[in-house]
Amino acid sequence: MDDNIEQEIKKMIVERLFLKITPEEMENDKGLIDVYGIDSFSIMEIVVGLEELYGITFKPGEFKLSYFKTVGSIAEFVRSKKK
Amino acid sequence: MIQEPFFIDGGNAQLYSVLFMPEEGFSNKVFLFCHPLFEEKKASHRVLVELARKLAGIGHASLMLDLRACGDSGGDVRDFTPANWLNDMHSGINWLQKRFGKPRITLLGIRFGATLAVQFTLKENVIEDLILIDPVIIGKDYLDEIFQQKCIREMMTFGEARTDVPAMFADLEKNGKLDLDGIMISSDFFNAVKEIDLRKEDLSSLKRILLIQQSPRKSLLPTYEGFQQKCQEGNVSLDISLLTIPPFWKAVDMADYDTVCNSILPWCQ
Repeated sequence: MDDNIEQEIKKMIVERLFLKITPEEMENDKGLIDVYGIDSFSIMEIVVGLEELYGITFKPGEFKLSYFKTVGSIAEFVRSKKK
Repeated sequence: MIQEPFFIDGGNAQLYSVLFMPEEGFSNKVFLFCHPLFEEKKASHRVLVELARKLAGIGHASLMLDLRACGDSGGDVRDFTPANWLNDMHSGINWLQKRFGKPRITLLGIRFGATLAVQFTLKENVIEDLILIDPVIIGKDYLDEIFQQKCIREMMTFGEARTDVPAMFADLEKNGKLDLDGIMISSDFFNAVKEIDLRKEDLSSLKRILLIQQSPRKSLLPTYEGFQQKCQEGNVSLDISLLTIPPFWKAVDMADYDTVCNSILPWCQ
């Protein structure tokens, strides 16, 4: 199940942000801000999406840009919260 | 088409307003636009202008009014409260009635502006139709969202948020005000908004509503299902339009004006 996290996150991001690419076209290690044009409103959408997908809520001190750099870093964050 | 800017006297604040209307063939239908707050107001402005012009094209008049302490209207942080805004809407409606006699009035609100539109209509029995675009149903959720948005903006600028939502609540409690990226909000605003839950209101005095949801979801959001249920209980006529487009009120780039306008105009004939 954990192997699917990156795929689930890509699908969620593409759908919630109306990106004009397919989830398969997203790469795990490409910068969300630099490559995919993610802005602060979009990150809010991702935060809500993660809450819906995994029941994750962001605690004080967890709004760190390093967690939102790539699909891979979001997936790592999700795994750490699921432990 | 006539597009006329002026100020409406709102008591202790002058309310910047723009009237849009056809040069001839006025239908006797008027719209009062209730804008959203903060960044959402800026992002929505162009859509409202486009919509007002299109409504004028089919004979209707629209009044765009900046609520006090917003946009070009007078007022300061102490005035930035829902109670004052309901009074401003009252001033806007009075102005419309003086200008047009007894027009059929529709309130068109976006996000928190839509919440105000519902509250105003429940309070004053002069509104026939409501158009609610992505209304805020639960005030507490809305506050969480705008506070989280501030954390995210800080994170984008500094690498990590310098504050957090509980700290912002505490700050408001302690100082009575909080800077939300240049817009000061007061504890009066906060306390009034956190009490709002439209699902708990008796909606039976509302007449006709068009609810527009812009979302990637192809089904109604759970909070809107609660609102829908309350409308059904009150025998309120509720039409729902689900638009699977990016919400224009949070768009940084060009928004999809046409889809929004096309979902509204047929309902306004």
